[in-house]
Amino acid sequence: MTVNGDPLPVGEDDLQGWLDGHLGQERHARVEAWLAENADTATRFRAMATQRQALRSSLGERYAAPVPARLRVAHLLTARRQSRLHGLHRIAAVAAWLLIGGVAGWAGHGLVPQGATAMRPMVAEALSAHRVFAADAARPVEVAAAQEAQLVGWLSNRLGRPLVAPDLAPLGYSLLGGRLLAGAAGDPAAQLMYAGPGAERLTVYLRADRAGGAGTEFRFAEMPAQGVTAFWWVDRGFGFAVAAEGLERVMLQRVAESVHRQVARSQAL
Amino acid sequence: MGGGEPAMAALIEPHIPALRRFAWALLRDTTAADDLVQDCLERAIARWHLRRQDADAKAWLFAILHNLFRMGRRSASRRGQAMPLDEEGWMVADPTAEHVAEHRLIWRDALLALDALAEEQRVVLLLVGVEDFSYEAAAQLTGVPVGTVMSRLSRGRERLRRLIAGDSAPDTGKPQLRRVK
Repeated sequence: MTVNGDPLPVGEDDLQGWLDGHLGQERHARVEAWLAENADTATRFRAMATQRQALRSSLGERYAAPVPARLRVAHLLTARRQSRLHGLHRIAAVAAWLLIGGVAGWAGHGLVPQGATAMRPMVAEALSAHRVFAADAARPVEVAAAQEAQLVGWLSNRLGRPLVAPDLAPLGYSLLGGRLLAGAAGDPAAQLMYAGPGAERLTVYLRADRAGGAGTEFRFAEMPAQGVTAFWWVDRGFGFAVAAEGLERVMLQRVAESVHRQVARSQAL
Repeated sequence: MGGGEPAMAALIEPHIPALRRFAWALLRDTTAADDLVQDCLERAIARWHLRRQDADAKAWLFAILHNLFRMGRRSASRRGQAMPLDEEGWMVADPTAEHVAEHRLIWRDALLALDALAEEQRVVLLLVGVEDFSYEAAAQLTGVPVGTVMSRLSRGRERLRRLIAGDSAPDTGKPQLRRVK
């Protein structure tokens, strides 16, 4: 902290640090010495220290109060299991909450794509959903590919249209599974997740998208800060986005074309 | 990592008293505060598998609670609802308390004076001064730069000091009694 024996001048941050006991021993002594020479400031800060303590004391009984049963984790887990039995709406609701505010609030930045307001909601959701779930090593999907028929049946049912899980094996991507999400307008949305040769993730996001202004041609979108990119298109009232992180644009487009072809061929959508 | 539900409970449970204290200090209503904490815990449980493995559980829980608190505030103000009144209801109980000398008495209670601060200042004073978060953690948790945390802390504490000292300082004007119905 010293340059040629000349300590850094005491600043407001030092004084706050002094109040909160965040200073190292040496700096603390330096601030104490400075306060001894600056009586007015010392008086102010000692008053603040007293108030800081008063605040802590007056909230002490709140801290010591017994925790009500309804706030026990075990209790909340039981309630959660019961409500899960009611169906999968809840998963969708939680996921929607996540996409809207949760992780974005925690990270303070970055989850909702920059300029998301200008981005078509379906595409912004696809990028965010990719970012959230592709990074999740423990539980990337809600229903695994082993139950592909069940997965496709479930998602078809929820989206109200027969779906297919595109076969991307020729391009080196195998289906991991999928999950149901809630789109911005409350429409159910599906995310299918694939793993590439190096386990890198690729997602296909789809939901009803009746907003005009887009045709069947491919468009490119990205979250620049995160390196998540997507090709997307809208076909007969349904929006699709194929998203990946750090994947070559050419390769991503090839995957998107394959998805588009398979969807068109199956006539399922 | 894993460890399942017992491990999750073991990481969450120790922070519940502090979450309740923080929520109560913000809302001043035990039921509303516990509702907020319950909301926070439900979301934490649902999102547990999404938590960064290296993230501090306490900071993560506080971030969720703070976020919910702000979201609740926004929707409450959109509906034009009054903020929750103090349990003590002191302003309602004593309409003659408009006299400045009376105010000075009231401000002597740090907890009541805290209410006169801007919400952002109150949050930072509680996170740093009561919940013992570092400035960096408080910044990350509230989604603002550290410099902003420092200035909110510095201004909030100075304002609190003046209120309690009964110092009718020019920069604060007269004490604003924000929760009078």
